[in-house]
Amino acid sequence: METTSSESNGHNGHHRHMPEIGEYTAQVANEEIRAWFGAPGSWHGKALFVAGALLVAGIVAFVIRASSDGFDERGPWAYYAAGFAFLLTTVGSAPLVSVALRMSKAHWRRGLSRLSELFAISSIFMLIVYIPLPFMLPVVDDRPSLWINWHGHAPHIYDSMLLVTTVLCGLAILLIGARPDFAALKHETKGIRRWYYSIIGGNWKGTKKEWQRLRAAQGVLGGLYFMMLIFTQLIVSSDYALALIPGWKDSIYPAFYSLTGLQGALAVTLIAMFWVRRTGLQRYISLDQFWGLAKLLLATSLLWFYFWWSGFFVFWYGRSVAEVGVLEYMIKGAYLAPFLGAIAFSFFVPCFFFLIWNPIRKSIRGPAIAATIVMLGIMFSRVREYVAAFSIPKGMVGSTHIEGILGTNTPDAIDILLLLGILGGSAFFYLVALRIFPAVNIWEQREFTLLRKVRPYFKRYAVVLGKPD
Amino acid sequence: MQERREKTESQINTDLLSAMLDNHLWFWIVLAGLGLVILAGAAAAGYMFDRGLGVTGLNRPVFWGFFITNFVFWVGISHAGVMLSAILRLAQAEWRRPATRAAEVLTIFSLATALIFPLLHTGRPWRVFYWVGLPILPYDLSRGIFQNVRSALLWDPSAIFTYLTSSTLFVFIALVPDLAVARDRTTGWRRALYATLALGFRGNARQWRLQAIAGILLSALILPVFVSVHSIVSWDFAAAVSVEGWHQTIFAPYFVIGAVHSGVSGVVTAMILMAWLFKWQDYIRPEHFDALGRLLIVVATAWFYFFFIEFSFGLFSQEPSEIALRQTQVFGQPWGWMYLTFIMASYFIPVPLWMFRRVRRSLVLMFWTTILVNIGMWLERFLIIVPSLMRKQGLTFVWGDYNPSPIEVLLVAASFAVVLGGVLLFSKIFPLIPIYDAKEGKYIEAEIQVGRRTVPAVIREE
Amino acid sequence: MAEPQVDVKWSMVVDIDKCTGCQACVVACQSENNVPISTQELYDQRRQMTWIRVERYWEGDFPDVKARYIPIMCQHCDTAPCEPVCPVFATYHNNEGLNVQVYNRCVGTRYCANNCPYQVRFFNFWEPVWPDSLKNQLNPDVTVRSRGIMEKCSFCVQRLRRSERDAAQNGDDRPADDAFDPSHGAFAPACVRACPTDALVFGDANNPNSRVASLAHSDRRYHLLEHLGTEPNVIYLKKIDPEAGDGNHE
Repeated sequence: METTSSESNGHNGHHRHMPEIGEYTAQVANEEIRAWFGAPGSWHGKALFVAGALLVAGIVAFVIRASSDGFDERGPWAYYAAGFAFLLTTVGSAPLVSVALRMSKAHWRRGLSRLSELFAISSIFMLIVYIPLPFMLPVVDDRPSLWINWHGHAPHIYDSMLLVTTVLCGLAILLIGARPDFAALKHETKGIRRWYYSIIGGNWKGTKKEWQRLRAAQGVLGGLYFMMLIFTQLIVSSDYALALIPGWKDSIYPAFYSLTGLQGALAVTLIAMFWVRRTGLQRYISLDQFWGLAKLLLATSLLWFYFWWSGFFVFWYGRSVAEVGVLEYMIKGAYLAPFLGAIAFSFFVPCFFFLIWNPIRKSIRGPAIAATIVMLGIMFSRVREYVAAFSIPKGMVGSTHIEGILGTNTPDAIDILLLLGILGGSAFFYLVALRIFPAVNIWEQREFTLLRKVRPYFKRYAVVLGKPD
Repeated sequence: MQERREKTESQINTDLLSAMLDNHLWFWIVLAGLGLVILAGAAAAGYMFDRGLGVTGLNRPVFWGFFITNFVFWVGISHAGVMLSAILRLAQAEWRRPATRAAEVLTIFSLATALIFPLLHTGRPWRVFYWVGLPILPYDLSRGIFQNVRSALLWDPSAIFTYLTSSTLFVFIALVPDLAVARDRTTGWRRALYATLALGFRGNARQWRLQAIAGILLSALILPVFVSVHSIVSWDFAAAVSVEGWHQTIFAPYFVIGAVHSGVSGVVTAMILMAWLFKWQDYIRPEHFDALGRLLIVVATAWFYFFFIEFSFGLFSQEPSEIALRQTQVFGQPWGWMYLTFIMASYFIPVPLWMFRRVRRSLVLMFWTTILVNIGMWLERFLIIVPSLMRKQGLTFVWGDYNPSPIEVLLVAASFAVVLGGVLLFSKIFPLIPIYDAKEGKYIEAEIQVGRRTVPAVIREE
Repeated sequence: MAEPQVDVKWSMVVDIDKCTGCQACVVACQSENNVPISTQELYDQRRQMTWIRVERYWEGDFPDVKARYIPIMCQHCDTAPCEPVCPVFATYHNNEGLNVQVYNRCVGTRYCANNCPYQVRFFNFWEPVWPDSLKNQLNPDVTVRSRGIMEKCSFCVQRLRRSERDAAQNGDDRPADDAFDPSHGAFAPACVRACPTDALVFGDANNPNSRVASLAHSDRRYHLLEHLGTEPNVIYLKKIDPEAGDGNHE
């Protein structure tokens, strides 16, 4: 276990057990967070270099693929599509963690809300990845669809609009929440930083009215983001996966996709927390945050099995021609390997080897490892669904069931490079964002020092948490 | 949280035992009224057993109607108990305390009532032993054949009996400390009863620890049962490949979240009745309804999301029989009116109202909105079951219709009387608000000073 | 249940091209199988029982209207949706390809009827009654069902059993195909015997020389609601009318 750097010394003279993190002042919080933000350490440059290298490799792979295969066929771009779908259910959903915890008024959210919202910057990269995909989507005349036909291009336009709105909404949440911090920081910086701190921080003075407006905006934007994200996931999953596979009439799939989105959001946030915590800020990104997210990750991983089973069971019991075809293709046949990977790494291993055990769940390293495994599981899921969908021959899309036995679309070197580039690109954007925004919300921490007290309680000390509303 | 009023522990005892020990005239009048409705229901059932299911409105192809709708409805209501008690206990939500017992008791009585309906609806109820005999009595193996474990109708009784057993245990464990209090304050048959049931509970440290561990263990163990019960009920429908509106993969989570929606609403209705009838406004306070109302907004919206997917994916593949079904549901009469009522009652009227803090804190408005939700949720099940059967597959020649008979209406009414009467009788024998829980809550309340303001707080051990 | 494996698979072919919609099969089935009389009252209640029914569909707009007929009885599906859902094994698949209903086991949950896409399962909502004049008409080989249970077409299993006994007496291991040809034998199901246009053909699909087996390979063949994958043992043959639809009302 790592020790926490604080003035808490375990036991004091009265043999009363002190909480691991004692009371600290707003001043301490302010200084520590700013210090880390000013100089995060040499690891940052190295990580930026690795992520940048992967991104460049990915761009090269993209150019090679585009020049050799063009954009007419969907098959060669199957892994690219899986990469995009992976981003949408991980970094693209990550601000959801902050939004949901703020809605439920979980006091421990304050240490991680900024780290989760920062993924809105990575979502910009996700939008860039998305650009070629709508051009490969068949018009709605030829396939099942949720859309009322609008010149055949309804999903192309609406999917794109929704995705852009969701990303903008996530960015707005990040920027609005950063205003008080930027307003405080702008006086101490020079050059370009001072310039954009002034633009975003603006004339924030910290009046009562401004705070009320900030909270109202966070509430409204949070609710909006929640709905937009779920709806985007619903139609992206239905247009880019369900509609392309004949006979895959699976109404739980959009909900399942959103669930893995929540799972992925928790997982990337945990991973970001783990790496940032290794270099400091242990007082704010503490066991409370890891424990809280680990409980949610356990719940979503168990629900993963429930949702998967609900979908599988109905198909398996129903045995209609279309259902048998889908099961043969996506579970038993061509995509057996990614299916096994998904069920093992999204559900079985993280749940039963890690998260159900109390000591592991209530630790720093345990949830972080489980989160990494979950990320792998989500990647397998996306490969199974999107590669399977994009590999369906053009003529078969829109028919009632899969005819014949379809082969597996196995990845070649270019596909692997594309996936690595997508991973590296989102990491690169995130690392850059860490230098623009303080990794922990300063004003939320200062607020927390007012509401969190350590008091004697019978024979020991207990933390008293104020609940103003 | 300004409504907190300081009460001593003995005052709490007196207040919460009053419903049990004091005699109220209204209690016996209401009980007699409910008894009459139950008698009428029993007469209707007897007549139906004598004459056959012909006295219902069921026909071909609508083989399932009011009885199964009502079965699903009561199983749904039963999901409130675990939702509130187990999940909120594990999540350490403070405001759960006065609601838990009422929720659990509602679970038990609604489950027991739900169980009656599949039996009523069989063609030969006297042979039902061959179907559900196993959980209670040894199975008659002389026929040389076991039940069909592939049938969802076999998983149903298994799951429901498991749930009934575990929630009874759950209620009992939470009752033990209260029974000890009651034992020390009563005489005669009551004392004998409470002394037996309290299992010698004296409130020493070891007993409290065991009681707490049992509660937490049961909370965690009951969760999978909780999810499985309504999932299996949903598979009664979703497993049927032949009925378009039923054969949907979303059904299991859709039913579970719908059950939580109607169940939590049912608990709110019951709590408001308790506050009014037993004058427990000091324990069941607006702050509790505020929290329950916010929970209901989340649950209702999640439910609506699943409903939206369920409906839109019916149309996704654009099959003619699926479209015909949706046309009947939404535009065919009288189904269309019911559909409108269902959507408005279970979502679009209550949820916008719950957005207002003042509504959430008003007992009258919460009472009527939660009643509205359950009217809507009853209709939801009805609209899933009946129109789907009416428009089964493409053989339009045999499409059908359904009109419930007075017998069915009477039996449904009687089921409400059974649940209400059961909870009322329970309140006469056992405390409906957990006494020890109310006291425990007092110990972790605190206040802190932020500037000039005093902010309510909770104490958390670390 | 260890039943001996027999090499028989009962099957029926329905030639829509030959069906005139005369309902002779419906009446024959009614009297052979002790099916309760479907009175007007029962029709009004939608509780009439007809193990085989002739569905009539109108095609085209007035005045160019054509009536289309399709006889529908239990399809005896190889992967029948009704079978796995019965909690008490009242319906199961036997080793001759028949979907069998065991009246004594049935408790009347009606789940099988819900899960039958062809709607050929019938529930006894009332105790069946016959007028006194018809009491002696009841077939002694067939159980008279009581109220509260499901029933459906059995492919006249009592006739199949008689044909097997007949074959055993002659020292054959399987009934001859001739036995099910209305013009030769006596063992064809009642509806097949009654059909005046020879639209219904019954026999052992595993016997390569049978009429059923040869007709089953016709290029007009189709199954009702084929997309459900129920693999019925009743095969339909399309109408040969050039103006007509395919008779497959999906």
